[in-house]
Amino acid sequence: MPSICRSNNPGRLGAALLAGVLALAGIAWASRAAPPDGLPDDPLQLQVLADAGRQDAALARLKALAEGGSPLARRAFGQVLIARGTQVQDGLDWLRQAADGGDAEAGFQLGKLYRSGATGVPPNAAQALHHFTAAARAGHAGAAYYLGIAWRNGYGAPADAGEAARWFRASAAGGVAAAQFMLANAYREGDGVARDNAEAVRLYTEAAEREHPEAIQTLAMAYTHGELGLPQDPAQARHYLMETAHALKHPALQP
Amino acid sequence: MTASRHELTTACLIASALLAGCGSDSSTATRVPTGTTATLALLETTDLHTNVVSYDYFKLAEDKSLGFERTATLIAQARQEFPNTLLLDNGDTIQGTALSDYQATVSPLSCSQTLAMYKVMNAAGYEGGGIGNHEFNYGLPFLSQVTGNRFNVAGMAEPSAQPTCKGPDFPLVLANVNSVKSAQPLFQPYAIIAKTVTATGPDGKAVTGTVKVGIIGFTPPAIMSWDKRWLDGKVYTVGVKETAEKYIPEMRAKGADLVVVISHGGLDDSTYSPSMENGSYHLSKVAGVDAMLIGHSHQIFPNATSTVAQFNLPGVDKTAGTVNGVPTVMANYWGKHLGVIKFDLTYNGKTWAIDKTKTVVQARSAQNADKTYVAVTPSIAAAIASEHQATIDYVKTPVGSTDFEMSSFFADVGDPGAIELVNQAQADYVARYVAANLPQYAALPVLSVSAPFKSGFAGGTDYTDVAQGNMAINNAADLYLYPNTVYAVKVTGADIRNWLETAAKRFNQINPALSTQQELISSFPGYNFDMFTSPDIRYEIDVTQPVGSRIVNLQYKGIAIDPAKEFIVATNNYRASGGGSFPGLDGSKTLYASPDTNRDVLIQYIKTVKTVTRAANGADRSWHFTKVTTAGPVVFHSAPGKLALAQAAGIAGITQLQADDGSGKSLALYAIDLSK
Repeated sequence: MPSICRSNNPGRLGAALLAGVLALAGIAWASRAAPPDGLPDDPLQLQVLADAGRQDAALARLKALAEGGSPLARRAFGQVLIARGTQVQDGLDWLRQAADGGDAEAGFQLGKLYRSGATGVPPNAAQALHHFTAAARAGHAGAAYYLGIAWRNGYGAPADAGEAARWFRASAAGGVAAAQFMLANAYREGDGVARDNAEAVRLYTEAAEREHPEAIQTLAMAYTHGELGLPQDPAQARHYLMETAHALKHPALQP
Repeated sequence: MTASRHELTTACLIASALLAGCGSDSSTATRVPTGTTATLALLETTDLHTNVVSYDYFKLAEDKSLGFERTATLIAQARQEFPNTLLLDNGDTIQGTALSDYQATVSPLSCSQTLAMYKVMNAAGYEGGGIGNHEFNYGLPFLSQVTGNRFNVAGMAEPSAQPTCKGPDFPLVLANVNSVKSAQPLFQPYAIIAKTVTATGPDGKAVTGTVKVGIIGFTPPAIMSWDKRWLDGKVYTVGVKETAEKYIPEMRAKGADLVVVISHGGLDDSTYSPSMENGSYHLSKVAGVDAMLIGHSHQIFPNATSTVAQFNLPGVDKTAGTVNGVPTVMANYWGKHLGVIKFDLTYNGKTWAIDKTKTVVQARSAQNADKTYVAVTPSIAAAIASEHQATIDYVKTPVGSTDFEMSSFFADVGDPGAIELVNQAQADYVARYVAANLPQYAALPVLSVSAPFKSGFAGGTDYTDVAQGNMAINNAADLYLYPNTVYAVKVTGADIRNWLETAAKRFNQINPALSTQQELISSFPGYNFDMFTSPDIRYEIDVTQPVGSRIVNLQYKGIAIDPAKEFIVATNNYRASGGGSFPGLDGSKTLYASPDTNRDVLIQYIKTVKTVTRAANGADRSWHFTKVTTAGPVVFHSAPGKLALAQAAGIAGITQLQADDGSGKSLALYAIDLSK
């Protein structure tokens, strides 16, 4: 050990000392059996603890808050019940109460449930469309994205490319990468909007900044082939191709 | 419990003795005169992704634009410039190249070995680091091993029964990921580094002091989605803001003069939520944060000319490098930049205070103004020479062999030779996944599509061309150009028809009556020319018809396809999520978004079949052109002198008209007789 102390490099010395402390800290944090922290009051924090954290005490706290009337707690409690898969119908009831209380996110969650279905809840495109429409009109960007998808494909109503583009635009403005990508596609193809390569590139770039892998790959291909009014640029193409690989490990989450 | 507490106490004594013995214990070391000044530069690397050497393992070639061996030169320059530096890493460090895959999965590191990336970081004198999202990509046991942390999580032995493996020689901190089992942080949430600094006393003489730098780490809560297969039920994330609010006062109480947030996330000013991905903007508003080292977005900050949305938010000064007044740096990725935050400090009798008027924030590039790159630091590559070579050997290792030349020269006119193997690998992978995990869909047929990604756009060498003989891992990149992941979609027979109609835009509409020459291939890109290559599905493409009416005699197992019948089709994330704007494909039909790349799935498949043959893996043509006699020639372009390959693939009616088509791109002009 004295040799470390005589080191001429203070940085290395510090690092060597810390290595010892580090190993200890690892043990310390791993074996500290302190009681869980006092539960927070914030329903969103409680939702994390009750869902991914599997903490029943947090779920009980959330239930109490939901019963106390907070729309946010009702939504969070409903979501945890559905995620746990044991009380899906109860979860739906809480979501409906929250949505009725003006919580757009709760309506959005109802839309997603009816869209994909869940245990005891068959998919119902018309119901999904209803909830997405209400939430999107209240300004929910995620709901606007799914509304765009519904109008594009005719889920729950006859397809309408113009209506799809309109909702993709609302969602894209709210920062939803998947909507920015879909709207860019629409501008590229002239699908419900007038064809506009520059606008498509702007939207692909915006989605790419949000780690949307398919938008990044579209730019890689465009720079390879000189598409969308972009020049052929091998350096840019290679950059975007490598970024595609990277983004695929953590794609922009679907709303 | 008793045992580990004892172990801890003993070890603490040793550590204290070390600190005291070296004279950097807080009670003595901070005893510098009031008014002493010091300059301390924080140096940040981020998103290194195990790019140690300036090398591309798939191309097996040098790539000077990346690599820690050049960042190390920037670090050395900064140490020349500043009297005191503290080198910290932001995370996304241990995953991202063939080298990292090699050490994690191909030839897994033993408990007593140090990861190549950490080896060079130890050598460079790092004093702390954060944990990014990619650290979780290889699962918790691997992360535990290589970081030298014993995790108390479900699925792993009790910490007391785990060996303490070799980690880096510096502390890694992460505050917002907890174990489900213990409800405690997985890593130490923060560390306080007693940094010995050379300073100037009020009398102008040099003195030595200690600055206590507290570092606290955060990773994006979205790891719970991205690495769900490793993390679900084992760990959970807590919100970054409330976590910072909890620990930073603790750090101050323990004497931290400076608090440095190492946040692996970018800036997002939308309403705070505990699960938001990029929480750094909200972290900047937590009381007591002196500096932020950020990352994850692969961007440069500060950067006065940045058009990136996150650096043009209110409160963000992209020239000075501050976020809501907090000095902040993001050092790009793959070692392309080094982040610098220079603080001028004055000891006020109690703590080191920052003279905010003198703070400098920079992201320094490894690329010089003349587009050349700074020189490498030779000791870096030397330190991991054997790991580097082993990775190259691995990439070149044969995984199987092929009895025919697999090429895409004639894929546009029907040769499935470079595509069928990809389709077989995808279909096999998806079918096995569905059987194991989606029993409700077990009755649906699994089909697969892929496209000739390399189809001559850039000229005669822009084709897939794998020679007969051994196939190595780097050949997979030739057979599958894009870094996609396998996705499966659930579609109907009608959807398949629409899909193929879109793909058939690859062709111009041919007028059989024209006696002049007609080009067969349109401007519709080859990467969108999806095709089946299976005996189960058959169709014709009638190029005399307009777009949308070209798919003829579409059959499944010998009978006309039922428009309402459901199928599972294996494809990639690009197509399944809306790439190419195919009808109905926009993510809403995705049944399975796999984490595995098409390339890796292909490599695994080659390892399984071992010998790839034309008969079994390159002869199933699902489609033909509808036969038609044309008055004039129908032509297309491909590499010259390849006619024998078309004949070997059984493509009839092809002739080479001109060995040089005049394009200057090493392409020949071929004709196809559509009546054959």
